[in-house]
Amino acid sequence: MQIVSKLRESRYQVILGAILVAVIILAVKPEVMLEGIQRSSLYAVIALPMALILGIVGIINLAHGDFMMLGSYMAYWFAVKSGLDPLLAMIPAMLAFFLIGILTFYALIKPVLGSPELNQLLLTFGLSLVLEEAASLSFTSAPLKLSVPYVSASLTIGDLTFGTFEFVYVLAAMLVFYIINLFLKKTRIGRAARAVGQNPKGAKLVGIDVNKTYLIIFSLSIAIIGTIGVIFAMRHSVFPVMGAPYTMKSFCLIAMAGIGNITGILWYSALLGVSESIITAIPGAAGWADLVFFALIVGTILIRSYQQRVK
Amino acid sequence: MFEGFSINMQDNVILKTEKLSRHFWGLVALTQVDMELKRGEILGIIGPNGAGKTTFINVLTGLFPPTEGRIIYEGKDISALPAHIRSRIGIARTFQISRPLVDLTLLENVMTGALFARGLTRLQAIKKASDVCGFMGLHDVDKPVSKLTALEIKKMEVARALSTDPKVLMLDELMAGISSDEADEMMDLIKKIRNQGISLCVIEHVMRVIAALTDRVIVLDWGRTLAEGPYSEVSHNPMVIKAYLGEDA
Amino acid sequence: MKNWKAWVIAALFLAAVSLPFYTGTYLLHTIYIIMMYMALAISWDMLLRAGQLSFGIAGLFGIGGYAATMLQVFTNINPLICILFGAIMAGLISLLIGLATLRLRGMYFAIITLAMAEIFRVIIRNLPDTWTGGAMGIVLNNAIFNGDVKQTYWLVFSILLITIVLSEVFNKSRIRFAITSIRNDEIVAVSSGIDIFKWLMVIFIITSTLQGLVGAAYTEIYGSVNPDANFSAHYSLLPLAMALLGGMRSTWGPVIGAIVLGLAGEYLKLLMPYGYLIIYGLIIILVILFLPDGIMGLIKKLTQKK
Repeated sequence: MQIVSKLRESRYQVILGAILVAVIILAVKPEVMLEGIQRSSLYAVIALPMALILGIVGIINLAHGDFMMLGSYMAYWFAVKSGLDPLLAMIPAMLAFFLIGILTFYALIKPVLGSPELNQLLLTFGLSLVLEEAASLSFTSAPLKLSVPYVSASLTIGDLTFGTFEFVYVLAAMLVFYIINLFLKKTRIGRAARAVGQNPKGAKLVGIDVNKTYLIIFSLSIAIIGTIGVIFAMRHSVFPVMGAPYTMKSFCLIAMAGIGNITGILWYSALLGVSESIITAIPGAAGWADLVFFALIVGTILIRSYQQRVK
Repeated sequence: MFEGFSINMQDNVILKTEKLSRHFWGLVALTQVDMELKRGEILGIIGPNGAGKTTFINVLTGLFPPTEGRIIYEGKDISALPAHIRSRIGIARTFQISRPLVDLTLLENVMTGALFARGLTRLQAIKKASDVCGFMGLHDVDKPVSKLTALEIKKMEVARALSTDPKVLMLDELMAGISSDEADEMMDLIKKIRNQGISLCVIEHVMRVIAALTDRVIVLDWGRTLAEGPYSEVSHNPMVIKAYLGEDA
Repeated sequence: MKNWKAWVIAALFLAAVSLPFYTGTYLLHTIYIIMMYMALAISWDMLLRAGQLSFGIAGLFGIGGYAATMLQVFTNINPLICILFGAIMAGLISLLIGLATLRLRGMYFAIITLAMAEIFRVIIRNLPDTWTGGAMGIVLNNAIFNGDVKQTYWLVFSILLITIVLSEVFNKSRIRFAITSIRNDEIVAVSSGIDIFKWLMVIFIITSTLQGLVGAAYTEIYGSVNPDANFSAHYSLLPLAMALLGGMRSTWGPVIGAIVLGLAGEYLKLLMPYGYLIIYGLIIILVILFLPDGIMGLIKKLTQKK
C-alpha cells in the first residue's frame, strides 16, 4: 500500500521512469548504458568540486575546467620526464594544486568576494583566459597524448565490449562524493563550511573564521580538480582549451541540481551522461551530442521560472 | 462583526484579504489572515518580531503569491496580479531596511515611481517628484544617495512611493532608528498623507506612534491575527499583552 | 560649459566623416576594424547597464554574419539589404534566447551566453552543407562595394554612429531610470511599476540586433563566413575587455577602451603573433582588481579631487 501511494508522487514517478529507461537501454544497447555511466561519473567528479565552491564560497569559478587542464599537463610532463606511470603524479598533484588554490585565493578571489557578482564572473573569466593562453603559449595548442598501456584495455563479455579504465571515473566519483559528504557532515571544518555557506554573517557571529573556511574549501576544490586532471590525461588528449566544455557542463549540472544539492549532481550527471551516450550512438547524429547540456539547462531554466511564477 | 452594520460599509473597504496564507517550504509565515482596510483609514499592524508583518506586506504587494486565500482591491481579486501592475494600480510601499537606488540622485530616485507607475513624461515626472519632495520636507534634491542622511533616505522612500500616486500606502517600520523629534515630524507627514485621501497600513514597533496615528490596529502573532480593533482596546487585550506587545517609545 | 562639449563632438564627427579623404588605405582599414569592435563594446555595455552580463557577443555576431551571407548567396540582392537582414535575424534569435533565459537572470544568463557562441557554431557546423556551407563556410562572389575602402569605412562608421546614438538615448532618456533601477535593486524597480522582464527583453534584443548588424557588415566586407572564424571567442572577449578598460556603464568608456586596446592590439599582434590574448585576460583581471571603473572612472576621480 505504501508503495502504491508513493507512486502517486511525481518525484517517485520520475525515478521509476528513469529506472525503466535505464533497464531498456541496458537490454537493447548495453554499451550505451555503460558508456553513459562512465561519462556521467566523469561529469559528476568534475562538477562536485565546483559545486563545493559555489555552495560555500558563493563564487562561480569559470576557470574550473582550466585547473583540470593544468593538472593534465602536469601529468603529461611528469610521465614524459620521469618515465613513470602518470597515476603516480596524483599525490604531488594534490599537494601542488592545494598550494595553487591557496595562491589563487589570496591573489584573486579574496579581493572580489565583496564585489558584485558580475565582477566576480568577469574576474574568473579573465583567469580562465589567462590560463588557457598561458598553456597555449607554453605548450602550443597541439593535442598531447600519453600512451599508457592499460588505459586502452577493454573487456569483452559475449557481444559486449567496453573500456575498463573509464571505470576509474566511476570509482573517483563515488570516492569524491563520499569524501565530500563525510567532510561536510563529520569534520569540524566541514560543518563550519556548511554554516558559512548558508549564512556567512551568522557564522562569523558564532565565531567561525569565515575567511579561513573560504580558503580551505577553495584550495580543496582546486586540489581535487587538479588531481582529476591527472587521471583525465591518461585517457584523453591534452590541449589548452580542453577544460572549457567541462566548466560549462559542470555549471549546467549545478544549476539543475540546485546550489547546495550535492546528491542531485549525481542524478543529473547520470541524465546528461546517458543522454549524450544515446545521441552519440545514433548514426549520423553524433555531432549533436554536445548540445544536450545546453538543451538541458535551458529546459531547467524554463521549468524553474515557470514554477516561480505559479508558486 | 461589522457586516450587519450596513452594506455601505463594504464600499468603504479599499483593500481586504480573505483567509490569506503564505507558506515557505514548510515554514508557515501567514495563516488565515483576514484584514480590511477602509478608505482614508490608518490601519496599524503590530506584533512581535517574526509575526509575519513584513511577509504580509510582501504578499499584498505581489512579491510572493499567496499560498491560500485572496486579496481584494477596490472590489477586484488581485491575488494573481503581477507585482509591477499592483504598483501601477495604486498600491505602494516602503521597506523595513531602506533600499535606495544608489546610482541615482534623490530626485531621480523619487522620479522612478512617477515615470513607470504613472507613465509620465520626464518633465512631468520631474515636476511631480519635486512636488512630492517638497511635501516631504526634502531639499537639495540633486544629491547622490551616498551623501544623504538616514532620515533623508527614509523620507525619499516615502516620496518614491508617493510619486506613484497610490491609493494605498504601506509603511514598514518607518520610525525605526530615528529620534523622537524626527518621529513627530514623520507622524505629521503621515497625517497629511492620509488627508490627501490615501489609505495607510503602518507596521510599527513604536507604540506611541501607533496610539497617536492609527484608527484601528491588527495584531499578528505567528502568522495569524490575534486581535483587531482600536489601539486603546487592543492594548488591554491579555492575549496581546502576553504575546509581547513591544516597547513603548 | 556644455557648449564646448557640443563643439568638440561636432568637430570629431566632421573629422571622422572626412577621414577617408586624407588617410591611407591601411590606416583606414585599421580604423574601421577598431570601429567595429567599438560598436560591439558599446552594445555590450548597454546590456551591462541593465545588470546583465553577456559573454555571447560572438554568438549574435556570427548569426548576423551567417544570415546576411546566406541571403546574399541565395538571392543576390543588394548587400546592404542583406546586412539589415542579418541584423534582424540576430534580433529574432535573441528574442528566443531572451524568452528562455531572462526570467532567471544574473549568473544563469551569463553562463548561457557563454555557451551560446559555441552552441551556434556546433549547430551550424552540423547542419547540411547545402544550407550553411558546413565547416568550410560560404564564400561570396564579391565583397561589398567591390572592396572600396572609403565606402566600407562609411558603412562601418554609420553602424558605429547608430550604436553611439542608441547608447546615448539609453543614458539620457527614461530608459536610464529603468535600467539603473533594475541593476541597483530589482525589488524597488518592481515597486516603481517597472516590468523587469519586458525591459530586459527589449534591451537584449536591441543590443543583439546591433551585434548582428556588425557581424553582418563584417561578412559582407570580407566576403566570406565560416563557423570557426565568425563565432570566434575574440568577438566576445575583445569588446568586453575594451568596455572594462575604458569604463563600464557609459558610452565613452567603451569608446576610449576600444581606441586604446585597438591600437595596442595592432602593436601586440606584431610583437606576439600567437597567444596575445593572454594580455586581454590579464587586462580583465587587473581592471577588476584595481580599476573597476576603468579609465573613465580614473578620470572622474582625478577631476573631482581638484
